[in-house]
Amino acid sequence: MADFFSFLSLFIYLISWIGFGFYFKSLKKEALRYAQLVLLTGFCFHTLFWVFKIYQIFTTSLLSFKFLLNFLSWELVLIYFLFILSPIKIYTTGFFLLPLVLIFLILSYFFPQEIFSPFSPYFKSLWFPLHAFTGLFSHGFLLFGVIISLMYVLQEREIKKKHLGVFFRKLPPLEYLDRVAEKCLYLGFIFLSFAIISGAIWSEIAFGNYWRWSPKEVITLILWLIYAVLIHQRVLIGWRGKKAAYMFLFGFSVWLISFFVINLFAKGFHTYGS
Amino acid sequence: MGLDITILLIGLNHKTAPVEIREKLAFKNPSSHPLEKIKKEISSFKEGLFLSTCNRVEFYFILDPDKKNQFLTEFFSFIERESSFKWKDLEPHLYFLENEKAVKHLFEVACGLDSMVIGEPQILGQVKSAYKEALNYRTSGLILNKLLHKCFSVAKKVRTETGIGGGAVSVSYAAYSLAKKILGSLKDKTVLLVGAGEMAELACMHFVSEGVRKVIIANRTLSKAIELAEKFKGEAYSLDELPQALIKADIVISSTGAPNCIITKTMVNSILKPRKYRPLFIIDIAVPRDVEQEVNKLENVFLYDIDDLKSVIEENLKERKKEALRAQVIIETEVFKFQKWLKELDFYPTLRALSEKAEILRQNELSKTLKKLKNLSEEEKKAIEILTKSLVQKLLYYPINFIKKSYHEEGKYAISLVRQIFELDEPFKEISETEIEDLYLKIEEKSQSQENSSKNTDPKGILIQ
Repeated sequence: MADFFSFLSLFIYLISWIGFGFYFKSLKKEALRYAQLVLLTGFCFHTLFWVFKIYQIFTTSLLSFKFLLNFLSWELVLIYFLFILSPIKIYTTGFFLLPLVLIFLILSYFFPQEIFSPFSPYFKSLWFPLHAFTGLFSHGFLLFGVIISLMYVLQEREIKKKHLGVFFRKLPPLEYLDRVAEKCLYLGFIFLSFAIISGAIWSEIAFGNYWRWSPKEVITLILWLIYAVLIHQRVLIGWRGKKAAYMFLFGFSVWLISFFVINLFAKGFHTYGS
Repeated sequence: MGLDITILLIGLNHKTAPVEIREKLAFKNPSSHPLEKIKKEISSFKEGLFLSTCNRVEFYFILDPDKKNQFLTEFFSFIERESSFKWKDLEPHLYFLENEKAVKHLFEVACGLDSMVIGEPQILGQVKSAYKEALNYRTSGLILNKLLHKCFSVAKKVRTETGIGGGAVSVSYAAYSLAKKILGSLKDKTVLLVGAGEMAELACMHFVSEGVRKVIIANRTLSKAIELAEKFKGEAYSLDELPQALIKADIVISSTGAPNCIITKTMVNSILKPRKYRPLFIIDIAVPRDVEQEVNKLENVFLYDIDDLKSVIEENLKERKKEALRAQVIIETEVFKFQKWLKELDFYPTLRALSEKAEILRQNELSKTLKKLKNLSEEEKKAIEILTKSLVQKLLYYPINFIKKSYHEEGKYAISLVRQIFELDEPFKEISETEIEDLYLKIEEKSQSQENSSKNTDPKGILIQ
């Protein structure tokens, strides 16, 4: 039953993306409204799926890697709706965001069930959900920021080159994109910090030491430092716009390594590969 | 039987006539509208519309085809009297379009396809007010009403379905829309005018009307800057203080008469840090240019000179021309629909459609009944057929007679009404028995309740009695 909901939401997201495509092409308000309604429907099913799934994970104490991807796609849609409620309107984002959501969902079907979290026996601790959710939400906000930064780069290039094409007409103003990326940066950074702290405390309680320099921990620290530098430069010097967008994209590549390569292939503490 | 009206358009526009002729024919005298005079002096037309804008003067008339020559001579002498032109001098500048072509032309005009700047939106408003005038002077009737309403819906359709109005096509609007795309909302932004020239002032007005927060003026002679600053309620700087002014600004409009660049790359580079890399949009409308080309390469600085803006406009116009082709397709189909409506206003097609519809209904009902009554003799079948036929004929006698009798006066209204009542323009649809039952049941209930209420105590009624 739960899997059916997940599959259904995948299908509905696909339809919604086509709707966003129509909106991107025509900029008609109705197209946007329908696309968002469809997206919301898909999101409701997806949420139902997760209600079932989380219950299942906590009763069986088994967390497969494939559900992390699934959860990320759920989160990205949630973040989209959060930003739609904010006063800065960046509607065309849906058209760029949904492919990522769809890729994550489809990818999650390709990963075998057997890649389990190494911490399965320790789920009952309160620190685990805190660590997992903050970690996943930091990923969600940073990924959303990456999409926004990508849009920024596309828009900026057309304006700088003075060739005003498709993106100029359809994408939101640079300033808005920059402000949303900034928010994503702050939120992602805060969640990432919480994830690291809660992870360390949990590690101390469960295994007896705070930090053990495993590959996952190291690369997460690198990611944290990248975003810390970005925030520092932004607040003090005023790094914004293109430079910030490129830094975001750089952070994304580090995240890709951390999430897919280290998680799956590196041996050691905290990875799914061992 | 053919159409008994002609739609005639007599007009001139920016392509066919120079402005000296257009302005004389514009009838700008506010005390008397040309339609008023024409109505008084010429009696050989049925309906009329007068459209005058800075780029065109057009008369639309609905005439009897027989009276066309008479009307034209009357109209020529009217024009000669009103303008000081001889008809011979004027004629080469005019275009005469009839029926389909006139309709098509009106649609094109309303959509802005015939305008100097293709797709400009003001023209629709001008057509609307021209129609209002025609209503005012009671020169608009059945045909023009339908034509103009059609015209408005076509224009709306073209605007929503094609990109004919998309993209900026004036320098100041192009600059404004670029600023919007770079800076988002302009409400909390500051505009810096470098040079107090008229061009910059004009461009700045656009930004001010869109609600920028503040205007700063930097000029070689400070007194001129102060003068302008008072006008915009802003601050004034001399050119030496330009870097300080640049730090505060988000949008820069530069238009000095200086022979070489006054905003250099080193100058802008030095202010990036104090600005905290806030985006800066520089519009250089001066010739020769005021701003070094290299400035565009700096981070978060966007420089557009007058040629860049013009090429943006050029691109947009090209795009609009492409969209115009799509608009033409829409217009063609709508002209066709209008022609169809006109033709159907004719008398015989309507009668034929009406009796055809009745015949289909009769045949359907007849075959249903005959299926139920199987043991009928040929004679009985024939009797039933005759019964149905005469029933239909007698019922249709009234509408047909009504149309015929009043054909010459308000006949077209009657025809159009009959077409609507009997749904002659819609595809045939079988009416289900339950639908009919429901309808009659409701009518009966209503009439009964009304009867009751009139019978029952009606204190007001009694009082009146």
